Amino acid sequence: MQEKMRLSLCLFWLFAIISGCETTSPEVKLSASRIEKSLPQSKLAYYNDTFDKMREDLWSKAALVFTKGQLSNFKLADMTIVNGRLKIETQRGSFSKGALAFKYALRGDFDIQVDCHIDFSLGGVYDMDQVAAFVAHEKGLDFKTINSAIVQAMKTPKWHRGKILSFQKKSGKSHPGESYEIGSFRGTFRIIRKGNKASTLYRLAGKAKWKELDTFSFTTNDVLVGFLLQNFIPKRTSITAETSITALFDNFRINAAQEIIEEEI
Amino acid sequence: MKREKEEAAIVTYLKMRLAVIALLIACLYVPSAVAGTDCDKAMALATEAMLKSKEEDSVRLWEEAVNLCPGFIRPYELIGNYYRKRGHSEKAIEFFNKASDLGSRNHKLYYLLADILFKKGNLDVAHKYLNKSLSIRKDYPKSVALKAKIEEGPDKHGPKIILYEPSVPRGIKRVHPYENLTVRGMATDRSGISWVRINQLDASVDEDGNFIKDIALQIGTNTIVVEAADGLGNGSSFSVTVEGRPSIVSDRTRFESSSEVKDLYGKSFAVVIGINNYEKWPPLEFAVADAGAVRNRLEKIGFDQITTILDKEATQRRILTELFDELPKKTTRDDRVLFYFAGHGQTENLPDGKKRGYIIPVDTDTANYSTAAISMEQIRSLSSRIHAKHILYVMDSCYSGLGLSRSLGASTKISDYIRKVSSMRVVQIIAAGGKGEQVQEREGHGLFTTYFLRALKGEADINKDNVVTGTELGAYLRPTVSNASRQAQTPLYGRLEGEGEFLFSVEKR
Repeated sequence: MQEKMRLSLCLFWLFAIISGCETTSPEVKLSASRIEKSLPQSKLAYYNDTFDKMREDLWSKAALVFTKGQLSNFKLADMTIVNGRLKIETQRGSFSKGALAFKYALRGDFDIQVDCHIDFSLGGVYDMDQVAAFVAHEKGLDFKTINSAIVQAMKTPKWHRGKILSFQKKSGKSHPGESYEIGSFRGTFRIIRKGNKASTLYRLAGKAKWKELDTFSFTTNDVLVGFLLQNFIPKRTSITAETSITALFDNFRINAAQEIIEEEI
Repeated sequence: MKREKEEAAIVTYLKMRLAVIALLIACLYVPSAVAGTDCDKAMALATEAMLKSKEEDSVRLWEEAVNLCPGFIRPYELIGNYYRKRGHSEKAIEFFNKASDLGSRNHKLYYLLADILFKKGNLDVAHKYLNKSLSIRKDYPKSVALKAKIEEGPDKHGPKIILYEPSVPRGIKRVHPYENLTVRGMATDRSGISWVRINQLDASVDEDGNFIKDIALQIGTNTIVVEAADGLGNGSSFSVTVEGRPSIVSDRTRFESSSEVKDLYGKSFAVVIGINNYEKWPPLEFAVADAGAVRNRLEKIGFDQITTILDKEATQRRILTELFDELPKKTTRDDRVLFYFAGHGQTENLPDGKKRGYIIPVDTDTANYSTAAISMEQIRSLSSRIHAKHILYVMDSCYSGLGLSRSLGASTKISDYIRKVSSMRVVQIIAAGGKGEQVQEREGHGLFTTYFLRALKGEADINKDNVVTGTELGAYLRPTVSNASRQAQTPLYGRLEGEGEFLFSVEKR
């Protein structure tokens, strides 16, 4: 019995060492280290969503706008389940956005991911932005003082191609991280928090390896998570949005989490 | 000279072409001035509320959101919880009940309602809400635990009886001018309701403990005794006294004029809605014309208070305000209310396999309609706030999931039957078709409304007593519309509540 345990431990350390070898950076990246004291997969499974139906027990529809001007000409994007994926489609002629906010807060360390597919429109889109994002916001802070970790695929009118980029908000101020030109995005967004650090990552569909975009200091308080599609960036003041944009989201997973806090209602 | 003229003509022609092209380009590039609906903005405000550090700021935004979009359930739940946390249990119950009335499927809402009522000692109603919570999520630990706690203690008490109708305090007499009286109320007990009897006659009881029974009144003093027993056999009773006086209706087999039927009612209200030009749904051609024609017909047959709401006015907010606030304020027990809606309908498949029908106001989104439309559950719930004895919903749209029960009344003597059903409460509904069916539009009207108008002119008066009852209306419309549409559209009709009949006077035939 003892021998079996010893063998298991050896295999564990061997696996950990091999995993560590795969990372290119000399310092150990968050994505390469395990979340300690995570809830077991049997408990986490309840929160994973394959979007076969709209799970009202997990998600609230949401749509944060940033200015009164945007609110005055705002249309909620259509959000529907199509072939086992969540389809968000913005409306034309307005600031438009659709989001799902997770009804549970995450406490302590966590590792979450969601698949996203967005084909950026290239023609006739000089009058709007295209942003699909996965976000973790600190709970209990006003938007102007918020701390957030964001990984997003986006395209502004000035860019020839779409980009994948990391973003953080510190006390409400934006700090762009690494970004790469990517064209349309078909892959997975991932956010990991360990201690007071957070990492943003992405993986392209069909690839095994995750690419880390950024690692930065992040709140240790409870966070709210969600994902969204919007046709505007916060500073945009006018829009014509002659075309709608669509993103498909699928396979939300909590790979690890130390605590999942249920809202009272 | 001629050439100069030709050149000038060509230049003028080209200038005109350029002007037309410029105009077209301008039209194409003018920003759309159409802003989103109030419900879209409400969603944005509710999201902003999630990111507020002070809960008071969140509450202010949630209140703003429900003012913009009264059918938006989530803010009611959150405001209710805000008051609950601060110990304002009555306010919490008020907001939680609004969310419940609007059809909330949040298992935690019903747990929290139960928890407040449990702490107030109202164990039976708390138990009812726990059952509702567990019907949505059967393993919700908090509901399971509280239910077990309530069921642990010995139940030696009979059901709690609440009487909605006749609405008189115990021991006080009320004069009732009809031969029949509807007795309506709710009995609750944690072990469930075994039976309810009114003056020793069994009343029909639904799964929530709502009971209804029509009883015959004698001239003079009548004591009405409501008795109920719970699942363990514990009993309780409640009594009221009603003074019966001679009926105002004469004993005849036919009604000679519309004023005679009108005399059976205090006031006759109608809310008539027609929507052609939806903001997001495909336009309809004749819904507004249908609404106009229905209004005209209703005016002729004694409806004296008609509210017409057309096209862009027919927002969810306006319709709910009419049903939520205006009609409950205006109506009394002796009135009748007809609600006519010509527009889109939609049916949603719920996760538990059930279906939920919606009417679609002008400002409803195509995808997020469950927030900004009006569900049949809401309509059923709103009916209980309207005091009128007879309510009829006529929906020229197609639905499923109406939860109807059907019963045909019968009596040997026509006038006896009419007198009897005229005093009993009823909420009836007739819809133009079922799920997946398309309403047909022909010759300037919807097919259903064409036959509805014919019915009100007397074609539905099956027994030729110059009165069309709600049941006769359904019995006439179902086969005629189905045949006329070659079975593309078969109306549904039935009762949401009660055993009375909505009555229309029709022209002598």
